[in-house]
Amino acid sequence: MRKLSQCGLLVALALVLSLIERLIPLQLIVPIAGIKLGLANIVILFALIMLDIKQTAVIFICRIVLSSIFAGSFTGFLFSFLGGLFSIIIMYILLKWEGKLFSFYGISIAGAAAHNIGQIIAAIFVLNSVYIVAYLPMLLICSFPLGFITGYTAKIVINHLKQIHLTV
Amino acid sequence: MKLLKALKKGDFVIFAVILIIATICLIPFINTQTDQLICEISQDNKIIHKIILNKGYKDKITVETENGKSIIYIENNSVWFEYSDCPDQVCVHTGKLTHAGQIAVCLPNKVIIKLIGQQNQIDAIAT
Amino acid sequence: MKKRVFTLFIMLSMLCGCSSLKNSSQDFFAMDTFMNISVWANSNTEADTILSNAQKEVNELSNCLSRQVSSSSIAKLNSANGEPVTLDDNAYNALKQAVELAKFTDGAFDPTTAVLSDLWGIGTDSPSVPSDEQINEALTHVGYENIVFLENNGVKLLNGAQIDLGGIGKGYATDLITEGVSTPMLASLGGNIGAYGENPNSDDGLWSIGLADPDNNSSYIASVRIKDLSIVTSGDYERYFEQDGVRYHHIFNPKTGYPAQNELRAVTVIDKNSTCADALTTALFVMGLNTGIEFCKSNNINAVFITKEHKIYTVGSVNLTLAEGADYEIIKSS
Repeated sequence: MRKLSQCGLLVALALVLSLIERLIPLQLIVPIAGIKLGLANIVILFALIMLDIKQTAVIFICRIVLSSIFAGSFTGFLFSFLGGLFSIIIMYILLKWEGKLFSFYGISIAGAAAHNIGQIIAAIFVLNSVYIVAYLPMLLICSFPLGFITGYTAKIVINHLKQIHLTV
Repeated sequence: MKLLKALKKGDFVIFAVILIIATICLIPFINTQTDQLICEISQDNKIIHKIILNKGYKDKITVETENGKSIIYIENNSVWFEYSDCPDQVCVHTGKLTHAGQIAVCLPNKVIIKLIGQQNQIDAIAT
Repeated sequence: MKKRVFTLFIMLSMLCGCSSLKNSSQDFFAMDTFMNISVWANSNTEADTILSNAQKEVNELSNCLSRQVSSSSIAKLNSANGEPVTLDDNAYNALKQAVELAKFTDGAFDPTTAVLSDLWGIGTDSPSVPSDEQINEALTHVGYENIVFLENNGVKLLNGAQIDLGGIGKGYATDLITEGVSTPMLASLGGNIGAYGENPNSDDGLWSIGLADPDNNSSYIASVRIKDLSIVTSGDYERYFEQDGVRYHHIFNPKTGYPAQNELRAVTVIDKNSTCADALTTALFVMGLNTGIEFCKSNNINAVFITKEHKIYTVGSVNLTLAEGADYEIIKSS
């Protein structure tokens, strides 16, 4: 029961984040409708660390289904899905060596980069043009600061929770 | 710096991989094109797209307006109305634009495709 | 010393401002088509003013000459059931010129083909080939003789005739906006070109105008260099529909009620008077190649005929240059 409400809380949080990121007009720099910054990755990262992969997957699916219903955009759904999927897979794998080979920052930056790669791949299929890949370098550069912020935020929250001995 | 201390060896590998991927993506676009054609698409007199045409570039742009829908195709150095739901189809019949100064217009949907370049050999076309 | 250098600098820069003309250009929609007017003047303000005046004139004219605008005097005339209607000055003048041109071309150009356009539905959602009965019925309403001019701008229509000034509207607009303008102006009103004054972007002050490729009308197959003239083209590619492999276009033969079917794809006329040129392209297209060429020779008209066999015939003093890669042959008739 507790897990359910926790998951619900995280889905809600992820939704709020995806709504906030919609306010940022990434479309001005990268003219592809539906492309996202990936702020909701904070929740994904948190979930991967504090919960297990199954719950993370559930939270992820719930979040993108709900946010696409709110947004009403199928291409947005596709981008979020592929982006999130790549992000989860990469971060899941890298987290195995967290602390030893990789730090939070590196992992979340890798997650952000994977998210963008996923989005671009989805865009290439939707728009039917390989040359969309030209936008990837710029997005990848963006994943450094963005991944850093995501990782830093997740880290703060986790440390805080550890401090108050909140176990999940 | 506290930040650098927090980073581990593997992180730098991640960074390097990301930068390599970014560089690889840029390779097909290294050679600067000689004749730069720019395609300007406007709807209701507002420019909604400005795209540089390149050899090997392909794109499909859908313009949805309150009057109707038009689909514009771009391939190499041409751009054209592939589909439009207007009754007269003048825009689609215009065919491919390949030179600077050429224009295709969909009146009902108020969509204009313009090709701009540095050299305009003629001032206007009587049509 | 500094003050002197400063004033000298100001004076020089003012001189520089005077010698290069400022350009103002505007794309807009009017008369059911796409238009662009480009003006060059000594200052941006002057260019903008001339441009907005021209645009305003075209928009006003568009409303007053169009039979689709219910408030226009032409529309009122069309729905008056034979009763006399007073037209405003522009509509009256345009109609008078249209009738004169109809007489001049022996009816090849006729401003009463509205009934035919409506019957065939060209340019609407549902164009179709009408029956012979329908065409014959429509023809009873066609004929410029049905237009009766009364005094004080009054006009009445006989036999249910309906006026469509689409065949000269753009030409009339071009004449109106270029009249009395003393600075360079390039107007493209729905493909109807008016090039007046010295072209600031060319060495010899002439304007290069291309003749549209009938198969790709945003491209050109030949070009002329002109100044202070209007170039108008009528072609089978502007408004049309196809049924069973036959193309039915918007240039009707007022005598047969059918779109003019002959060897021509397009006719271009070059003349100082754009209204004339506009009507003549329609008339010459209806006349066909040989009759058209003869008519031009007898009346000193400078024209270009583009045929289905990819030949370009020029009549009069037209200096045409073929465009690169154009699959056409230029033949001078004189």
